[in-house]
Amino acid sequence: MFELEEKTYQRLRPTLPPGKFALIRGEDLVGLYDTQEAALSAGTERFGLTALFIRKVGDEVMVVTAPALSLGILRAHPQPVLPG
Amino acid sequence: MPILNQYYRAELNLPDGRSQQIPAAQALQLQGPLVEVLVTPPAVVLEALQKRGDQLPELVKGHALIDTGASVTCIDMEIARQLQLAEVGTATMQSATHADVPTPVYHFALVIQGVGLRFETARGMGATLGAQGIVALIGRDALSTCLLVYNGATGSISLAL
Repeated sequence: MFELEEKTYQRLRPTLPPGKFALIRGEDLVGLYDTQEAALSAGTERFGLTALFIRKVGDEVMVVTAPALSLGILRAHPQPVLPG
Repeated sequence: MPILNQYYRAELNLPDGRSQQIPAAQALQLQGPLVEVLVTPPAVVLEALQKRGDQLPELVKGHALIDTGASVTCIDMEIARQLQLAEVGTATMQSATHADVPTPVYHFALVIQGVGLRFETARGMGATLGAQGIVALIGRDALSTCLLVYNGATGSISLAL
Protein backbone atom coordinates (compact mmCIF):
# COMPACT_ATOMS: atom_id res chain seq x y z
CA MET A 1 0.00 0.00 0.00
CA PHE A 2 2.89 2.36 0.78
CA GLU A 3 5.47 1.21 -1.77
CA LEU A 4 6.30 4.76 -2.86
CA GLU A 5 6.56 6.06 0.71
CA GLU A 6 8.75 3.10 1.69
CA LYS A 7 11.09 3.85 -1.22
CA THR A 8 11.17 7.52 -0.24
CA TYR A 9 11.94 6.61 3.37
CA GLN A 10 14.75 4.25 2.37
CA ARG A 11 16.21 6.96 0.09
CA LEU A 12 16.08 9.65 2.76
CA ARG A 13 16.92 7.46 5.72
CA PRO A 14 20.71 8.11 5.82
CA THR A 15 20.03 11.85 6.06
CA LEU A 16 17.39 11.71 8.80
CA PRO A 17 18.15 12.17 12.51
CA PRO A 18 17.77 8.92 14.49
CA GLY A 19 14.96 8.86 17.01
CA LYS A 20 12.75 11.35 15.17
CA PHE A 21 9.45 10.36 13.60
CA ALA A 22 9.31 10.97 9.86
CA LEU A 23 5.97 11.61 8.17
CA ILE A 24 6.22 10.81 4.47
CA ARG A 25 3.67 11.27 1.70
CA GLY A 26 4.53 10.08 -1.76
CA GLU A 27 8.03 11.28 -2.54
CA ASP A 28 7.95 14.05 0.07
CA LEU A 29 9.10 14.27 3.64
CA VAL A 30 6.25 16.20 5.24
CA GLY A 31 8.01 16.68 8.55
CA LEU A 32 10.08 15.30 11.42
CA TYR A 33 8.54 15.06 14.88
CA ASP A 34 9.63 14.19 18.39
CA THR A 35 6.79 11.74 19.01
CA GLN A 36 4.57 9.45 17.00
CA GLU A 37 1.52 11.27 18.37
CA ALA A 38 2.86 14.60 17.11
CA ALA A 39 3.38 13.12 13.65
CA LEU A 40 -0.14 11.64 13.65
CA SER A 41 -1.67 14.88 14.80
CA ALA A 42 0.21 17.04 12.28
CA GLY A 43 -0.53 14.63 9.43
CA THR A 44 -4.23 14.43 10.22
CA GLU A 45 -4.55 18.20 10.66
CA ARG A 46 -2.99 18.67 7.25
CA PHE A 47 -4.46 15.82 5.22
CA GLY A 48 -7.58 14.77 7.11
CA LEU A 49 -8.55 11.15 7.66
CA THR A 50 -6.18 9.27 5.43
CA ALA A 51 -3.72 6.47 6.05
CA LEU A 52 -0.40 8.07 6.95
CA PHE A 53 3.08 6.62 6.61
CA ILE A 54 5.21 7.30 9.68
CA ARG A 55 8.56 5.77 10.61
CA LYS A 56 10.76 6.22 13.65
CA VAL A 57 14.17 6.87 12.15
CA GLY A 58 16.55 4.03 12.94
CA ASP A 59 13.80 1.78 14.27
CA GLU A 60 14.21 -1.91 13.62
CA VAL A 61 11.51 -4.24 12.36
CA MET A 62 9.46 -5.30 15.38
CA VAL A 63 9.50 -9.02 16.13
CA VAL A 64 6.20 -10.33 17.43
CA THR A 65 5.35 -13.63 19.02
CA ALA A 66 1.79 -14.88 18.74
CA PRO A 67 1.92 -18.67 18.55
CA ALA A 68 -1.81 -19.29 18.14
CA LEU A 69 -1.98 -16.76 15.30
CA SER A 70 1.15 -17.94 13.51
CA LEU A 71 0.06 -21.57 13.75
CA GLY A 72 -3.45 -20.73 12.54
CA ILE A 73 -5.10 -22.27 15.58
CA LEU A 74 -6.65 -19.20 17.18
CA ARG A 75 -10.13 -20.64 17.35
CA ALA A 76 -9.28 -24.32 17.08
CA HIS A 77 -11.47 -26.42 19.31
CA PRO A 78 -12.80 -29.95 19.39
CA GLN A 79 -16.46 -30.78 19.13
CA PRO A 80 -17.92 -30.12 22.58
CA VAL A 81 -19.17 -33.03 24.62
CA LEU A 82 -22.35 -32.39 26.52
CA PRO A 83 -22.42 -33.59 30.09
CA GLY A 84 -24.76 -36.43 30.98
CA MET B 1 -11.29 1.37 38.39
CA PRO B 2 -13.30 -0.02 35.42
CA ILE B 3 -13.88 -3.74 35.74
CA LEU B 4 -15.33 -6.11 33.17
CA ASN B 5 -16.94 -9.27 34.54
CA GLN B 6 -18.05 -11.48 31.71
CA TYR B 7 -19.82 -14.83 31.76
CA TYR B 8 -19.90 -16.93 28.63
CA ARG B 9 -22.72 -18.84 27.03
CA ALA B 10 -23.00 -20.88 23.89
CA GLU B 11 -25.38 -23.25 22.20
CA LEU B 12 -24.58 -26.51 20.53
CA ASN B 13 -26.47 -27.47 17.38
CA LEU B 14 -27.69 -31.03 17.74
CA PRO B 15 -27.94 -33.44 14.78
CA ASP B 16 -31.76 -33.36 15.01
CA GLY B 17 -31.78 -29.62 14.39
CA ARG B 18 -32.41 -28.56 17.95
CA SER B 19 -29.93 -26.52 19.91
CA GLN B 20 -28.84 -27.00 23.46
CA GLN B 21 -27.22 -24.62 25.91
CA ILE B 22 -23.80 -25.80 27.01
CA PRO B 23 -22.28 -25.12 30.42
CA ALA B 24 -20.55 -21.78 30.88
CA ALA B 25 -17.20 -23.42 31.60
CA GLN B 26 -17.37 -25.25 28.29
CA ALA B 27 -18.57 -22.12 26.47
CA LEU B 28 -15.51 -20.23 27.67
CA GLN B 29 -13.25 -23.10 26.70
CA LEU B 30 -14.74 -23.20 23.19
CA GLN B 31 -14.99 -19.49 22.47
CA GLY B 32 -11.95 -18.33 24.38
CA PRO B 33 -11.97 -15.07 26.33
CA LEU B 34 -13.80 -12.93 23.76
CA VAL B 35 -14.85 -9.37 24.55
CA GLU B 36 -16.91 -6.88 22.54
CA VAL B 37 -14.83 -3.97 21.37
CA LEU B 38 -14.91 -0.85 19.27
CA VAL B 39 -11.82 -0.26 17.15
CA THR B 40 -10.97 3.41 16.74
CA PRO B 41 -8.15 5.57 15.44
CA PRO B 42 -5.99 6.96 18.26
CA ALA B 43 -7.17 9.92 20.33
CA VAL B 44 -4.78 12.39 18.66
CA VAL B 45 -6.24 11.58 15.25
CA LEU B 46 -9.81 12.06 16.46
CA GLU B 47 -8.83 15.38 18.07
CA ALA B 48 -7.14 16.56 14.87
CA LEU B 49 -10.23 15.64 12.83
CA GLN B 50 -12.42 17.59 15.25
CA LYS B 51 -10.09 20.58 14.90
CA ARG B 52 -10.55 20.43 11.15
CA GLY B 53 -14.30 20.16 11.56
CA ASP B 54 -14.24 16.82 9.73
CA GLN B 55 -16.65 14.02 10.32
CA LEU B 56 -15.30 11.32 12.62
CA PRO B 57 -14.94 7.86 11.09
CA GLU B 58 -17.50 5.20 11.81
CA LEU B 59 -15.98 2.99 14.48
CA VAL B 60 -15.79 -0.74 13.92
CA LYS B 61 -17.55 -3.02 16.35
CA GLY B 62 -16.62 -6.67 16.81
CA HIS B 63 -15.11 -9.29 19.05
CA ALA B 64 -11.54 -9.30 20.29
CA LEU B 65 -9.87 -12.37 21.72
CA ILE B 66 -7.68 -11.94 24.78
CA ASP B 67 -4.51 -13.84 23.89
CA THR B 68 -1.87 -13.99 26.60
CA GLY B 69 0.37 -15.78 24.08
CA ALA B 70 0.53 -12.70 21.83
CA SER B 71 3.30 -10.28 22.70
CA VAL B 72 1.44 -7.35 21.11
CA THR B 73 -2.13 -6.48 20.24
CA CYS B 74 -3.08 -7.33 16.67
CA ILE B 75 -5.75 -5.83 14.44
CA ASP B 76 -7.38 -7.17 11.33
CA MET B 77 -5.72 -5.44 8.38
CA GLU B 78 -9.00 -4.98 6.54
CA ILE B 79 -10.32 -2.94 9.46
CA ALA B 80 -7.07 -0.98 9.63
CA ARG B 81 -7.63 0.00 5.99
CA GLN B 82 -11.28 0.80 6.63
CA LEU B 83 -10.35 3.14 9.51
CA GLN B 84 -7.45 4.65 7.51
CA LEU B 85 -5.05 3.85 10.34
CA ALA B 86 -1.53 5.17 10.08
CA GLU B 87 1.20 2.66 9.33
CA VAL B 88 3.95 3.34 11.85
CA GLY B 89 6.37 0.49 11.22
CA THR B 90 6.76 -3.11 10.15
CA ALA B 91 6.79 -6.31 12.14
CA THR B 92 7.60 -9.93 11.55
CA MET B 93 6.14 -12.90 13.34
CA GLN B 94 8.55 -15.11 15.21
CA SER B 95 7.51 -18.59 14.14
CA ALA B 96 9.20 -21.89 13.51
CA THR B 97 6.71 -22.77 10.80
CA HIS B 98 6.27 -19.54 8.84
CA ALA B 99 8.66 -17.47 6.78
CA ASP B 100 9.24 -13.94 8.01
CA VAL B 101 6.77 -11.81 6.09
CA PRO B 102 6.87 -8.12 7.01
CA THR B 103 3.51 -6.95 8.28
CA PRO B 104 2.34 -3.37 8.90
CA VAL B 105 2.32 -1.94 12.40
CA TYR B 106 -0.55 0.38 13.31
CA HIS B 107 -1.44 2.89 16.01
CA PHE B 108 -5.04 2.42 17.17
CA ALA B 109 -7.30 2.07 20.19
CA LEU B 110 -9.69 -0.60 21.42
CA VAL B 111 -12.61 0.28 23.67
CA ILE B 112 -14.21 -2.58 25.55
CA GLN B 113 -17.89 -1.89 25.38
CA GLY B 114 -20.00 -1.28 28.43
CA VAL B 115 -17.23 -0.70 30.94
CA GLY B 116 -15.14 2.08 29.43
CA LEU B 117 -11.91 0.09 29.34
CA ARG B 118 -9.74 1.65 26.67
CA PHE B 119 -6.41 0.43 25.35
CA GLU B 120 -4.36 2.51 23.00
CA THR B 121 -1.53 0.71 21.30
CA ALA B 122 1.13 2.73 19.51
CA ARG B 123 2.58 -0.39 17.92
CA GLY B 124 -0.03 -3.03 17.17
CA MET B 125 0.50 -5.57 14.45
CA GLY B 126 -1.70 -6.08 11.40
CA ALA B 127 -3.00 -9.62 10.91
CA THR B 128 -5.60 -11.52 8.94
CA LEU B 129 -8.27 -12.15 11.54
CA GLY B 130 -11.57 -11.73 9.71
CA ALA B 131 -11.89 -15.44 8.92
CA GLN B 132 -11.70 -16.16 12.64
CA GLY B 133 -14.68 -13.91 13.29
CA ILE B 134 -12.65 -11.47 15.37
CA VAL B 135 -11.40 -7.95 14.78
CA ALA B 136 -8.45 -7.97 17.16
CA LEU B 137 -6.26 -9.96 19.48
CA ILE B 138 -5.63 -8.28 22.82
CA GLY B 139 -1.99 -9.04 23.56
CA ARG B 140 0.34 -8.63 26.49
CA ASP B 141 1.13 -5.00 25.67
CA ALA B 142 -2.47 -4.04 26.49
CA LEU B 143 -2.63 -6.48 29.38
CA SER B 144 0.52 -5.03 30.92
CA THR B 145 -1.60 -2.51 32.83
CA CYS B 146 -4.44 -4.91 33.68
CA LEU B 147 -5.52 -7.54 36.11
CA LEU B 148 -6.94 -10.51 34.21
CA VAL B 149 -8.69 -13.38 35.96
CA TYR B 150 -9.61 -16.40 33.84
CA ASN B 151 -12.05 -18.48 35.82
CA GLY B 152 -12.43 -21.66 33.84
CA ALA B 153 -14.55 -23.30 36.54
CA THR B 154 -17.31 -20.69 36.38
CA GLY B 155 -16.89 -19.88 32.68
CA SER B 156 -16.08 -16.25 33.29
CA ILE B 157 -13.32 -13.70 33.06
CA SER B 158 -12.65 -10.48 34.94
CA LEU B 159 -10.57 -7.74 33.45
CA ALA B 160 -9.65 -4.62 35.43
CA LEU B 161 -7.60 -1.64 34.38
